[in-house]
Amino acid sequence: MNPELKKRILNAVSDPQLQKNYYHATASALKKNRIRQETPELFEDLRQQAHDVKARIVADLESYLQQAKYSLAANGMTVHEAADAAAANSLILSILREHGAASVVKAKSMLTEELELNDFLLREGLEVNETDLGEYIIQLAGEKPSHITAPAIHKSAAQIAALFQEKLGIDYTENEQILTETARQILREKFFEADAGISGANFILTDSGSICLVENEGNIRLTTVLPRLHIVVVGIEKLLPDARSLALMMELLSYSATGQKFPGYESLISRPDEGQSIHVVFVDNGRRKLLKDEEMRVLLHCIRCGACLNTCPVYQHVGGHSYGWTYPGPIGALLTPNMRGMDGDEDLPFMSTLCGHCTAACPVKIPLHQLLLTMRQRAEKKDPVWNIAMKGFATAATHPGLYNSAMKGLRILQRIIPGEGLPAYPWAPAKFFPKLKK
Amino acid sequence: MKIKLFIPCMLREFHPAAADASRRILEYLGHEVIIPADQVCCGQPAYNSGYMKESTEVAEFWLRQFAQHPDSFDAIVSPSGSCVSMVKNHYSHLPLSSEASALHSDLQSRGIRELSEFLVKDLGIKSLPSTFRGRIAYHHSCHLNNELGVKDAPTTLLAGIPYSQLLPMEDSDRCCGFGGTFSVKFPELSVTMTQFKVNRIIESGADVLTGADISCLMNIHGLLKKQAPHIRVLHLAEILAEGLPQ
Repeated sequence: MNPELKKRILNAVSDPQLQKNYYHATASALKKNRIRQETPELFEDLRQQAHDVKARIVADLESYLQQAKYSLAANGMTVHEAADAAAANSLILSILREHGAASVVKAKSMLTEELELNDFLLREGLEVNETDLGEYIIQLAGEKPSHITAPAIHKSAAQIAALFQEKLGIDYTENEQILTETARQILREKFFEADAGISGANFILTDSGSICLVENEGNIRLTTVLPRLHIVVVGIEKLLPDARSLALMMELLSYSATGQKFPGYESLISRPDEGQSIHVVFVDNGRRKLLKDEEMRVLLHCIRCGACLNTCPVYQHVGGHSYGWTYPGPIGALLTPNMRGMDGDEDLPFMSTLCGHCTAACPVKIPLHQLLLTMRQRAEKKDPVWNIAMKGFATAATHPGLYNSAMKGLRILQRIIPGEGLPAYPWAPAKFFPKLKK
Repeated sequence: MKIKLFIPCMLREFHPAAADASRRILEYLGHEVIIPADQVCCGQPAYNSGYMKESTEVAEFWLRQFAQHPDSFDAIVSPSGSCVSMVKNHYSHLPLSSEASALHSDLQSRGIRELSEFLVKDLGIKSLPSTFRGRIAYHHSCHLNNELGVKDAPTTLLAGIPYSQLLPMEDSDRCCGFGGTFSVKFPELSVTMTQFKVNRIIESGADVLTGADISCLMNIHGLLKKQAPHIRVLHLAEILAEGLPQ
């Protein structure tokens, strides 16, 4: 197994505070999804509709993308496309330079995490400030997001209090209102000073050329409205055909992400304000690779709600950082090997008990745990011990006589081993192989 | 009805009393139970590890075994949600031979059911005259819950036992951390997840833990027997069959 992954898992499972942070935050989000808890048939119906909308988009992605570009341009926005992270970053930098922008405020965007845009812009000498409270916290801490919608979910109130004390010089307090107000005051200045705002997009409506953004804090609205330059960085798959499908998606996204009927703020941007420029940068960065893969294409349905993380018992114990790239949880265990595909990523689909809670929770009906199985089938069978064990298993399971003799042998072995018997696994002495019955 | 009893390998080797209990329940209800000889495994260990060739071989063997004497049975019932889901939901993902595929369709049309699902959904039974006494915590096994969609059938039956009490348990539908070969590949993570489950079971105040899948129960028992030896671990079928005529 990837030794780095192993190390990250061991660190996480030996940190009870970390697991407690994850458990409390994720379990409470899940229980609030009333549409799923109270009217499961309605949820089933809505997610089938959402699945169908996304399937329609994905089946004809290039045409919808063309339509989106045309509509956005017709609304007075400048549209770009970038093939990978390097291309996207330098494109964004050149737009910023063109507008003479030196300081940037950012709204939460997982795609820009994928691109490592912040590090890139900082290296180029720009000032970059994250404005989502969670993102602001992890920027202060010099960390990466541990959850798709709640980037600082791995931190407790006490850890955030200590961080604010150290980095911002305030008195130690776990009072959430004081901590939030402190960040708010600092960020308010940054909004006014910033030359440019960079955001992602939850959806782009292809027919009207509108950009839809969802949030609870109001920082996205400030990021997209105050600076005279707004750059939207968005994956090529984040398209919806029309406002009718947006209503459906909005309800599912909101309930699935945070259990709210509606998000606190919902922005639909259809044209630049006077004196403002909007640039939309569509990014591929591995998405067309998914598109070409018939079995994995359905991953492009993902609306990044985080429900599969919140419901995943493995995620709750190992945490977001264990997955090693931008996207954690079941969706990350699929996106990472398929989009990034670095050596060692192929272990991620095995890091699941296949319990299926993710598949049951997904608001766009991605068969997540079935896809994890598909990835396991595709994995190169390198380990000779497993290969021999599986061959042996298949032989025994198709030859009852042989199987029965083998079990007889095991029973004799168990009788002569004293004490508690065979440890189930030599490396996990907590569990013992149960006694075979006669 | 004439019912073929599918006895999963782990149940037979480690907890055969639950297979016998399943037979007694079905016979008590007036059904004829056939126990096919030479049944071994449905192939799930190889399938979940990504070994398609091996799991297909095992699946085809399983299908041939259970399709024998087609005139002799109406349905297949098993006291395991996970193994039933493997046969019912996952065999169609395997590259089966056309002969094996035809056998699969035939068995599907007769019905392949987990025991509690069969009792409650197919037979409409709400309770059995079990004489079991205990304070029961029920673990919702994941494949029964999420892949077969069976959530209420086992708890309906348990709640109907007159001298027992079904206790609420926090996170009763959370995975126990077994996951078959997952527990071998990620032992530390698996044990951490099991410990979480064990804490919940102890907190529930139960003196009996039950569930519909012996693999989960055995996994949990591995830790529970050291930390709370007073809590017995029994398969759902054993609890339901207690006191029924032999």
